[in-house]
Amino acid sequence: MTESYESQHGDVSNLELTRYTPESRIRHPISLLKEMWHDLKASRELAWRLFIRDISAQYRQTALGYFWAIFPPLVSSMVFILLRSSTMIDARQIGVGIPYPAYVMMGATFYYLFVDALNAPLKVITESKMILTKINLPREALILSAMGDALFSFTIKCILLVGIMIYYGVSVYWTVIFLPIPLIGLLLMGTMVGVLLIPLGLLYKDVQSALMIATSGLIFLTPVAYLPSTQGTLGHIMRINPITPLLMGAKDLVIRGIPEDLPTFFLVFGLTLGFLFIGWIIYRLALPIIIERIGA
Amino acid sequence: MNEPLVKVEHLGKKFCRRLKRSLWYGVRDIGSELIGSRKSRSKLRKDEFWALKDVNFEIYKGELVGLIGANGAGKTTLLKLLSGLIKPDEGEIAIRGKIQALIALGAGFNPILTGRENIYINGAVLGFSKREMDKLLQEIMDFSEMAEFIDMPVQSYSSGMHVRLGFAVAVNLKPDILIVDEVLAVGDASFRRKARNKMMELLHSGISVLFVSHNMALVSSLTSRCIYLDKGQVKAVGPSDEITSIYLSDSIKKAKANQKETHGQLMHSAYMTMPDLFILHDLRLSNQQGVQTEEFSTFDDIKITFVMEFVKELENVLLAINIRDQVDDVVISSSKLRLDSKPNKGLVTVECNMEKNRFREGNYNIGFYVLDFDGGGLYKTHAAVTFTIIADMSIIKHNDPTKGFVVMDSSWKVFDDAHT
Repeated sequence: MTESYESQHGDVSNLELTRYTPESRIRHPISLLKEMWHDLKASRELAWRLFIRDISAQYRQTALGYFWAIFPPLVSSMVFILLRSSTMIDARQIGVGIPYPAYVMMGATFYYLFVDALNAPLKVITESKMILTKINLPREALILSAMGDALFSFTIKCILLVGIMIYYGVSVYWTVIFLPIPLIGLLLMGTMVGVLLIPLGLLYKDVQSALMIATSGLIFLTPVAYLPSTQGTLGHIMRINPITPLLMGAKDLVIRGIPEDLPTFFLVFGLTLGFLFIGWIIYRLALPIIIERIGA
Repeated sequence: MNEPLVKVEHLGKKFCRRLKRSLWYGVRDIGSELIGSRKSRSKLRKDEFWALKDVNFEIYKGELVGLIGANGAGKTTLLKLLSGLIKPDEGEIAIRGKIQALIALGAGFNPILTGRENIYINGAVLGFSKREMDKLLQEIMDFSEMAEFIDMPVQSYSSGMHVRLGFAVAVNLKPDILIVDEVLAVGDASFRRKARNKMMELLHSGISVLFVSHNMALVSSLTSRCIYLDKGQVKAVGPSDEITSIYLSDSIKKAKANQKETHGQLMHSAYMTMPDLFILHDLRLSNQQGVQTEEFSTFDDIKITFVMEFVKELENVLLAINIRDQVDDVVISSSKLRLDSKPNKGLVTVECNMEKNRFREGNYNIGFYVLDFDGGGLYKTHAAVTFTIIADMSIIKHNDPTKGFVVMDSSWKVFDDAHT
């Protein structure tokens, strides 16, 4: 082989080597972590594109468009307001200090950030099934774009919430500047549960149906429209409900100041990050197996 | 010595026949994947079978390799393994460089987004930044000749436009290895030629192409080396001319075996029948000696004899046939308007004689269509009967019966200058 041919066509050994073997990647944790980091970086551009695609596609094929983002918290809030007016909810217990509709709307808006983040991963992945079974892409991108979808929908809800707060003349505490922290917590916690459900949810459609029922029931077990009660079964559930510290923390930062139970708050936050990481690993390892089962 | 770009060793992949069990195996596989189980996956569980078993081959830089095999031979599974979509159960794949697989073209397109948006998404999938894609966009639009449609949603594209755009995106993203799956079989002739030239250009610049196709003429003319998959195993690897002719003779054998099974099921092959108006009783093929056969040699006459019954009297009846090759392309078609003189009622025998056939070697299906001008279709089938052409090398001169679409007699003369 002549030298000029060598330089033009090059030696193949300088090209990146990819190997596919039956062995589980978890046996090589270091290289697994490197791959995860590499794919996360590589998926930013794609995630952005997918996000833009989802947003514009959503807008194009619906009559009401972005209204669907504010619909769920609005309906839930009205339910609570009705319940309260018919004294189903004890008014004394709600010593919230701000007009009730604003309080409920705030709780519902924050709660639906969690719910949207929970539903988005499975939804995005199901919608991308076609691409997933045909193209090998950095799969982290789908999760990132799912988080983007949830955040986008939250932003729209926030516009409504701010409008309502202004209408009722609610004055917010200076601690509102820390609000992004519990919100990120809610986003990550929702994403974490959503990602953990992907493997099973892709194989069995039952998961998606169960999820719908679960999230519509969960709103009553979470202190969305009232303070967490201290007694009874409901009080007990609310105390162990991991959403409670994040949600109450967010609400406190807006209308009361620094939340009292900071250790619990950060414990939940830390656990969320930990489980999200575990969910990410499971997601990576499970996806090739799932694609094989659903992509025939 | 040069190292191969793609090296596949003892590759095996198993699938499960039943969906529910398959899903359950999936759950268990995820479990053992997570605990990092070292248990070998070489054993078949209930309802499982090997979709691929002990597959070995290599592809070198700048090589165009064909991948052929009947439907279900494992081609798509192999492509999915190569592109890293699914994990092998046995063996190993080592790939150097970026691989770009066109498994069913345009599959990565989102129908409600425009062509332009889809180009950017496809680019992002392969790790291209927006700025890099801005530069490539013009090239992609020029190559696909889609500039005027680029801002239309992809769902309004014709299938040919889909293919053009998909191919243009794939080749312009400059992979090291390109997998092309049946691309050149669709699209119009001028684009096919262009795509072919582009592939050759890419090969020249050092990329490797794995070309998957059912079109043996194309495979043998494009590729130098060929991998023949049969029932999940590599049946043969070698020079394309040799391998494609092995494949063709295998498929002829298979078709013959099938023919015996399906004999006498004329009514079943039709996708449209009106038994209260028209019945096809018999359809026979025979050669110039009047011998009934489904196997013809080059330049034999092929006579089709139909025995049909018009249950009610019909006036304007059109009979038509077309003959399709293995890849379902119509090679010829012929029709007859009105059945002369006789009233179209009762039993009628019709003959269609094709003198000196010029079909190339292979299997052909005869489609048969009966239409009533006043009432629409009476009988339609794409494959009323199948016949086989076996090339007779003693009478074909200067013509390769496995290439091209038809064979013909040709003669060459060589003159020395003094003669002219």
